[in-house]
Amino acid sequence: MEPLFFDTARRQLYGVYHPPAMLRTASAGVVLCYPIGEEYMRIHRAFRWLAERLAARGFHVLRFDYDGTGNSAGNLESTSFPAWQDNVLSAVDELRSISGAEQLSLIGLRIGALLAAASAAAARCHSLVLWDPVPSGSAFRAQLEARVTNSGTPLSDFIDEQQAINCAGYRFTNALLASGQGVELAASHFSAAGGVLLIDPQPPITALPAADISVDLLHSDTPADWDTVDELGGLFLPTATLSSIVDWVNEHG
Amino acid sequence: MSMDSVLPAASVGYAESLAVIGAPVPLHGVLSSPSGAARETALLILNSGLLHQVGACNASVELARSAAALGYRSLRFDGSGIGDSASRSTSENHEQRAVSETLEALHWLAQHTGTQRFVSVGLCSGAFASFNAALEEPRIEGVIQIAGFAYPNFKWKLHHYLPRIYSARSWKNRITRSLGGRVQWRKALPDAYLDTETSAGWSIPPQETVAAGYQRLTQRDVAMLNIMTGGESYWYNYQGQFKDNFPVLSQARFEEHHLPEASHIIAERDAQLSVRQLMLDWLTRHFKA
Repeated sequence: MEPLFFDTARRQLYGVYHPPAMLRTASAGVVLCYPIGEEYMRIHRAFRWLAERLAARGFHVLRFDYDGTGNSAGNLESTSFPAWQDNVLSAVDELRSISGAEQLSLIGLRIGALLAAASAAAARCHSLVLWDPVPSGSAFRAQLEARVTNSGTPLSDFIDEQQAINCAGYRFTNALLASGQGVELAASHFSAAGGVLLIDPQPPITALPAADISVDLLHSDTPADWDTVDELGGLFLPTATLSSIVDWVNEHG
Repeated sequence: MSMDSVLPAASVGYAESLAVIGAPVPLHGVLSSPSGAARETALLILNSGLLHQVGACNASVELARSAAALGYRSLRFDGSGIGDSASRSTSENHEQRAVSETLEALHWLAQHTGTQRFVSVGLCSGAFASFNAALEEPRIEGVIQIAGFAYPNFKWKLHHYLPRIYSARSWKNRITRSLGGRVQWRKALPDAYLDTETSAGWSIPPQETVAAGYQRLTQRDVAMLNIMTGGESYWYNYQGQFKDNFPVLSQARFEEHHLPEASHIIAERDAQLSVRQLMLDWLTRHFKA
C-alpha cells in the first residue's frame, strides 16, 4: 500500500497504489473510482479490502480521491464533473506509468461507476465494473434532492439559498451539480472489449450495449449493503459482492 | 459577516506532502504546511473510530488547510489497520495503540520539521486518544477533544428528566404503553454506558481516572478545548458540565462549548463552520508562536 500524489502540475490528486503480490502472465491493472460525499466515507474501507484482494491476484491497483474530495486538492466548492472525468484519465495514465500495464480495468461505485463508464473509451479500458451506478448527473441531483426532502435531519440535509444541496455533511454546489448535466450512461459506454459487469443497477439500465460486448449482471442478495451502518456507526463490509468483483476481474481483466 | 468570511480559505495558503511514519509497517498520513513561514506549534489530527484520515465530512482536511492558512503545520494520519495504513502485529489494545502511534507521529513531525510544541485533536475515539497522548507526552501543550467522554451528574439528570416531566408527549407515550400492557421501563442509557466499558471497542475510563488526568494536565498548564454535541446527550447535556464534574478545570486553561443541535459527526453545515472557527480562534489565542 503506497500513497502518492499525482497530476501535481495541475491539481494535486491523492491516490494509493497497491503493487501486485504475484506476477500474472500479462501485466494488468485496475483503477478504483470512489463514489462521493457520505458514500465515499462508507466505502473507503471496502475499497481498500477490494484493492488488497486484487493485488493478491496479481493486479496493479490504484484507488484515488477526485479533485476537491478526500485528500486531493481543493474542495467541493471548486470542482466539477468534467474535472472528475479528467481525473479518471489521469489516474489511468498514472497507473500505466507506474506499472507499465497496458491492460487496465475500471471499477466504479455509484458516481464512480458513471465516471468510469464515461471515461472508459478514452482510457482504453479493457473491462468495466459498474456497481450500483448512478445513471446520470441529473439523476444524482434528483437523488440528493429526494433524500434531503425526505430527511428527518433538516439541519444537515437541506437546500440552501444558493441552491446548493447540503446532504449528510457535504455541500454540493449548484454549479457542481449543473456540471453533471449531460453526463449519463449510454450504450456507447459499454465498449470495453473484455466485458462489463453490472452490479445492482437501480433503476435498471435501459441503455443497450453493442451486441458484441459481453455484459454480466450481478444482483446481490442485499443490494446497497455497502451503504449499511450499524447502531454503533460501524460499517458493513460487503464481502460477498467484493469477492464476486475480484473473481470477475480475475477472469476478464 | 457570515461565518464563511471569517474562516481562512482552505484552498489557499498551504502545501501538502506525504508522511510515511515508521517501519517496517509504516503509518501513512499527509503533512499540511503553510506556504509561508510556519509557527512553532503543530497539530496532530487523529482518526475518529474507523474513519480514515480525512475525517468525518472531510473535517480533518478542512481543519488542516485552514490551520495552515494561519501558519500552523498539521499532520493527519491513519493508525495501523485504519484507512491507508496497514495492520501491525502488536500486543497493545486499541487504546494503547492509538496513544503509542500518536506519539510515533509526533516524533516523526518533530524530526522532520523541528516542531517541539504540539496540539492533539480528535473526535470521538480520537478525543480519547488526544487526551491520553497528552498525558504521556509533555510536548503536547494543547488538547482538543470533540465529542469525547463525559460523565452524567445530578445537573445532567435535571436537564435530562425535567423536560420530560413537563412534556405532554412524554406522558402520552407512557400512558399509551401502559394501556397496551407492554410497559417496559428502559434502564437509563447512561448507566448502561458508564461501566459496561464498550463504545465501539473503546472503554470509558472511570471518572476518577479522568479526574487525575485533568489534574496532571492542569498542573502542566496544558490548554484544553472540549466541544460536545447533541450526539453525546446521554453523557453530556449542559454547558459547564466538565467544570462541575472536574473542579480542577476551573484553575486550568480550559474551555468548553456545547453545540446541542450538532450531531456526533457534526454533519450540520453551520455546526461544521462553528466548530472549525472555535478551534482556530482557540489555537491563535493560546498558541501565538
